[in-house]
Amino acid sequence: MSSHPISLEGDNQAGDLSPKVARFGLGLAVVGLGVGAALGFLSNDHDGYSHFWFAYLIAFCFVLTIVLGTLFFNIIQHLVNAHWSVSVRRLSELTMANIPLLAIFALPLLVPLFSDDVELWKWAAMSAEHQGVAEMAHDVAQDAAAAPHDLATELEHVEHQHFVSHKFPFLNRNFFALRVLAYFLLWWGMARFFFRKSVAQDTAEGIAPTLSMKRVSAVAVILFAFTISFFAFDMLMSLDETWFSTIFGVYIFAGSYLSAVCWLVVMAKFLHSTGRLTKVVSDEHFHDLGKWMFAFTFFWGYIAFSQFMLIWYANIPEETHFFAARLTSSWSGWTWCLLIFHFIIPFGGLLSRHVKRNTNVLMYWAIYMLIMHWVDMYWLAMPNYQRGEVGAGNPFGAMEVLLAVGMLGVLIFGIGRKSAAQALLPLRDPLLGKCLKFKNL
Amino acid sequence: MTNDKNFYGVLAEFEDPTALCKGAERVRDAGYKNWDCHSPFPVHGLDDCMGVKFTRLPWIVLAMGITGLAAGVWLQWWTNAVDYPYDISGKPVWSLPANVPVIFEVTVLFSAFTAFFAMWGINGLPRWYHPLFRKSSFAKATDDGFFLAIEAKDPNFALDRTSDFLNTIGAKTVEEVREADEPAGLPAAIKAKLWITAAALLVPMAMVYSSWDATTTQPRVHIIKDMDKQDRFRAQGQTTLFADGRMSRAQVVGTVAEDQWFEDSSFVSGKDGDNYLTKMPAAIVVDSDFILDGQKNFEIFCSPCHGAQGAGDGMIHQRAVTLAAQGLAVWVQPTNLTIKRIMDMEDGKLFETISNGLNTMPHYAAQIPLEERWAIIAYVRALQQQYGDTSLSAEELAVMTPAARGDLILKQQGCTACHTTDGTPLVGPSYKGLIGSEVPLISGETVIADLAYITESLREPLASARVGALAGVMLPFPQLTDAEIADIFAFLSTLK
Repeated sequence: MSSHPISLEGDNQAGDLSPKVARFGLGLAVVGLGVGAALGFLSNDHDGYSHFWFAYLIAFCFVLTIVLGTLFFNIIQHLVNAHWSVSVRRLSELTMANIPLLAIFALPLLVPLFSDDVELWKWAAMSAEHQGVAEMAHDVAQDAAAAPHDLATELEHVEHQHFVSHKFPFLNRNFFALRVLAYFLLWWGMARFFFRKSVAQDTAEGIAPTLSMKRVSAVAVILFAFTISFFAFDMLMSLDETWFSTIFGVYIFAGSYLSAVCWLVVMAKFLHSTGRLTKVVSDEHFHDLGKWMFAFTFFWGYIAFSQFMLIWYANIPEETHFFAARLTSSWSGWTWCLLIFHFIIPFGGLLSRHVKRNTNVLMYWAIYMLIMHWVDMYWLAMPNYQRGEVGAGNPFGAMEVLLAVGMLGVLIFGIGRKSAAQALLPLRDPLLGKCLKFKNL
Repeated sequence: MTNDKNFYGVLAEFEDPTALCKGAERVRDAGYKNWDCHSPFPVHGLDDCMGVKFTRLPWIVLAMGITGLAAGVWLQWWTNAVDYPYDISGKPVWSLPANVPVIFEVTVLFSAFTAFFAMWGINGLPRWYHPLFRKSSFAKATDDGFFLAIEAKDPNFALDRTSDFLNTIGAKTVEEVREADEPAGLPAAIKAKLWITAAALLVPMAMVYSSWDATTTQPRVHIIKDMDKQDRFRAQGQTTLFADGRMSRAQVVGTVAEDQWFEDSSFVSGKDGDNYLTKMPAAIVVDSDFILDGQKNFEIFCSPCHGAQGAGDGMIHQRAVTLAAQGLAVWVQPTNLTIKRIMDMEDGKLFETISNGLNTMPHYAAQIPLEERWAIIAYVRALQQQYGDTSLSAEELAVMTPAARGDLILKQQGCTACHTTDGTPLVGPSYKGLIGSEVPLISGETVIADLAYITESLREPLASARVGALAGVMLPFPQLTDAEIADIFAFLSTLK
């Protein structure tokens, strides 16, 4: 590789920052997850602590989607041979490298999956007890003879069971666990490959690692599209076992990439404040990250509305109940909040070029959008808790916040640990020179 | 400043982009205003060197984007909610979710056009000619030349001083640029081509103008064969496939939709035994909410044909009348719901009509739930109170001539929707000159139109159908008494 006539001024190594960040993240994780779990298990809600499991799933998906977004960020930069992003690419690599760590935090979800008491994925228990309609009808008839007043409820149960039963070949406990395992293996494989090759490039004599990353990125982007879509269907869409929306995977992807770009802004700004990467990540790079934030704020709104409008217009009962539940109950406040604060306000706020070039203001919007991303996850999942029950409210409190913060602590801990061994930017990337000279017109 | 009005200014060439930038900085600091740089490619940082302010284009685009947003909202609100309210897929005529895509498109359209054309405008484009083109060396500006030109109209401009200044700041060469003394005209060949093009452009416009309101017997050319060209049965059409000749199928007898089963069978059928209910079923409480619900459904399902006030003059009718006038359709006017015949009709009969359809009216059982059908009837009754026929008392009727009573009965029964009294044929034959004429029947015989024929065609229209009649369009009127038919005959006899 030819040497660039550019000196990488400033501090580009994490150095003694790594253990500090790791300790901070560990503290957040222990306090957040610990107290959150304690609050969850102290609350006696007689339904297998379902409320806690919903809150845990929301926190988990909140952080995992950020990490998946950074994986996609990496893949797409290699795929399109982007040079503007080289200076922040290592930050996204450090984030995506935590997929195995998050896989560990997916393990507790086996409890709600395999327990008959927890009502998280309601199809889990239904698929296990599933029997033929004839047997069910027989049981109902016997039960009805014993206790006639329960007949209507029993019939409703049979009807619902019958309605969902054709999904059981896909939605059952073992296959679900197997699929999630497959997603994590694929993500881990991709993240590991891109991380190792990128670090290898730091000391390589040629550009062979970069070239192999470019080749693999084409396959990786397809794998990523499939895995994140099915992950979204499995983890979040199936919380309502009767509902379906084919655009749901794209919706999750939109929020995932948006929050990932926001996360990169926060990381870069934090490193600036400690005097690192100050000459490497310039206003130009923040400007481009800001463009992504703006574009994906709009893309998220576009996809969210596309999903809403088709369902609203077709007005088919098996689809509309998702929005009916979120627009005609106490959830309507959250829905309007999402429209206004996740789309309209940041759209106006991020529109101007001056906002994207003012790193302090951009940092504010990045944190704001990360919070809104959590609200989005909460809005998707929580209305399914105590679904349809009279008096079911919008459970939101310290437990939700603590679990989300704790899960973010896990990510920060992981990044801190990973950041010690190599530089904070891809030192000998062939496009780094172009990146550092890059200017927006 | 110089007094020579054909003198444009001076053009300096620089070695490379760096030299151009450095030169531009000096020119900027020297306080020149009317000057510009020309390079074969965008030079990073040149804007700063020249002291060019950031473009105001984004503000113009933002303003026009907001204008487009407002225009998109207004367009849909005015066209569909105000000027021509028309039901589409049973959605409200003014509903934001359905309008968002168009609002979005119009906003993008306005913004994109504004960005494109305002950029041209701000840059003074299109510009076919520039005085600098007169310098052959300037051709390098599209290849490897980096130029800086200061215009003579700049207040700071003085030929010698400015030229020297350019030389001192690193210009390779400095040239003077003059306009031609006589501006060259457009070459004759180009002029001729422009005229021919302009004349040719008039041809399509002339063709559009000539066919502006021309009529044709040819159907429209369908480039894209839309849904109107499907192989399918049309709701009002005829077919030989079914015994009753109708394409539109009624529900199987005894069909009850899910969640529409009621203990009270009259609630579902409108009948108590064999008799139609004369009032609403017991389970229904008619209050203002119920009637308003009826109004909502009436306006969605009924008003397109029967009109918003039930007068039988809805949008479809108005359209069909214009088509029928051109001979493109056969049209039976939808029944006026405020005439005496409908006012006298039992609630149960109205319910059955909504559920199963009648004559050219299709059935609505599949679209309108039971309670809402009853609510529509409640609303129709309200319309009749507001706009309905006011009956005359028996005394008032007794003093009228039989012919005047007959005229009144024809109007009250809605006969005049299909039959005229002035000789114009509508769907049915005109009454003028009917009595005493020879009527060819479908059965092959010919009868003289007398009281017996009139009576039979009112009581059993199918049995006495004329040649050319649309079978089943004429309704039976069993409710008319012999005395009333005699009055009608008396009135018809006056129409010679």
